[in-house]
Amino acid sequence: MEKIKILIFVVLSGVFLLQETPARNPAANGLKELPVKNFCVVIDPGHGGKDGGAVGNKGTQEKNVVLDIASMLAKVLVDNAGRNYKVVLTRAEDKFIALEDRITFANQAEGDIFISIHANASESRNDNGFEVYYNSLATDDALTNVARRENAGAAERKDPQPTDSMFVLWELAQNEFQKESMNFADAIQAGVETAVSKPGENGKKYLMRNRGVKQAGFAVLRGVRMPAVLVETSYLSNENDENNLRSPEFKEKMVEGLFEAIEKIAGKINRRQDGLK
Amino acid sequence: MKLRTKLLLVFILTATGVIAGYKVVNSIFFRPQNPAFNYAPEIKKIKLYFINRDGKLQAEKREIQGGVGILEDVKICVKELAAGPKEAGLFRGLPAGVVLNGVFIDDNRCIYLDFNQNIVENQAGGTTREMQMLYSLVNTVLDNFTQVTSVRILVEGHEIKTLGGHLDITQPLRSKQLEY
Repeated sequence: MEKIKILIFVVLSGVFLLQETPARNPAANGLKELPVKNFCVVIDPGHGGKDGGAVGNKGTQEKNVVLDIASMLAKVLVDNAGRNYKVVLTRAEDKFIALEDRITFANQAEGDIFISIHANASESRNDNGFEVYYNSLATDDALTNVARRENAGAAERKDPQPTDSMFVLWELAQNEFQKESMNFADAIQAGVETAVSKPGENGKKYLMRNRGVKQAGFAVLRGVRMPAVLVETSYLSNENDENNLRSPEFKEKMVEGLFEAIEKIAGKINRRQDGLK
Repeated sequence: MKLRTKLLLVFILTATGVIAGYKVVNSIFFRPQNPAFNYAPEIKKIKLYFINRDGKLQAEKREIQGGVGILEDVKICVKELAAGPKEAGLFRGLPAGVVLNGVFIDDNRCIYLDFNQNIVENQAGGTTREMQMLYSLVNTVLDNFTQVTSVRILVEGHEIKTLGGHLDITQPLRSKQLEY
């Protein structure tokens, strides 16, 4: 009798488990399983190829420095165990890419954020420091013209053509990106300052002036349809800054600060997108 | 063809010629002059914006022999600017070898400065340097010619997106700041 009781218990348990297993599968309940969304970061190393950009007194070329930093940042983002990043580089080698192509590439990749990396130079060798720019809004006409020019390229490639109402939406989106671009620029400023101010190996401290967050009408930022910033890592025309940019440790600190800022802004954007669902 | 018809045809052709000739001569020699843009030549005090040791714009005052109108005066000013500063401690905003090919003005009082290719080819790189160059030009023009509302930059007669790969110059430049 005991054996029968045990057998009945085992059979009933088996039946229960068999019923329970599909119930744990969302698809079986008619729920669609959401894929883990990648957060797409478009990294734009400035200049390249025949366009070397600024050159320091020691011969440091902007195109090489910014490619180093961009590649290091891409690696840190991809290797990070937390968030699922998709990284797109507008160039991964020493190659000339026209501004229009960078913009088109970023927009086609449907990036969540865009970060253009540059090294600065001035007529004055005293000018130094790190600064982050986000776009200053042009007039409505100007924005629309940019969008029209951008889409003229799309027409040649036989992409779907936007209607006039889409330009209005594009302008509204630009205003939305403006606020997020400003937040992103602020996050970079804070992140990089914190990272660089920490002593490095052997207690070495890097002097870097913080020039703040600024606005300007950058051609590359005016074309991309996502929150976008342009980072001027330091001045190659300044002796101390050029030495910093030649140091692998300084570049690592710069990348650490940029990564922290991307983590922060990605969290904000993802929360906003989740809130919209 | 009857003589009367021939005479009529000659009359019409002559009348048309006279009217067209009058309009051409009138437009060239008797065009109403706008005193804001056309004036008698005189010695003028101007301010040329160069870059100081802090990387900011600084005006250098000069006297020039002005021309007979704003287009000529703008050309003289920009040529002086391209020649570089005379005061110690100031740096030129425009790269060496830059030549101003022409100056035009449109109905919106926007001045078009048409440069040779050297303004692109001789760029030394850097966003700040590009701003310094643009705003030494814009400040020089807007400060000396208050009748001008904005500045556009052309290269060999064509519109270009940027001079050094950074700042968008496809729109009229109105700001007088280095960082706007």
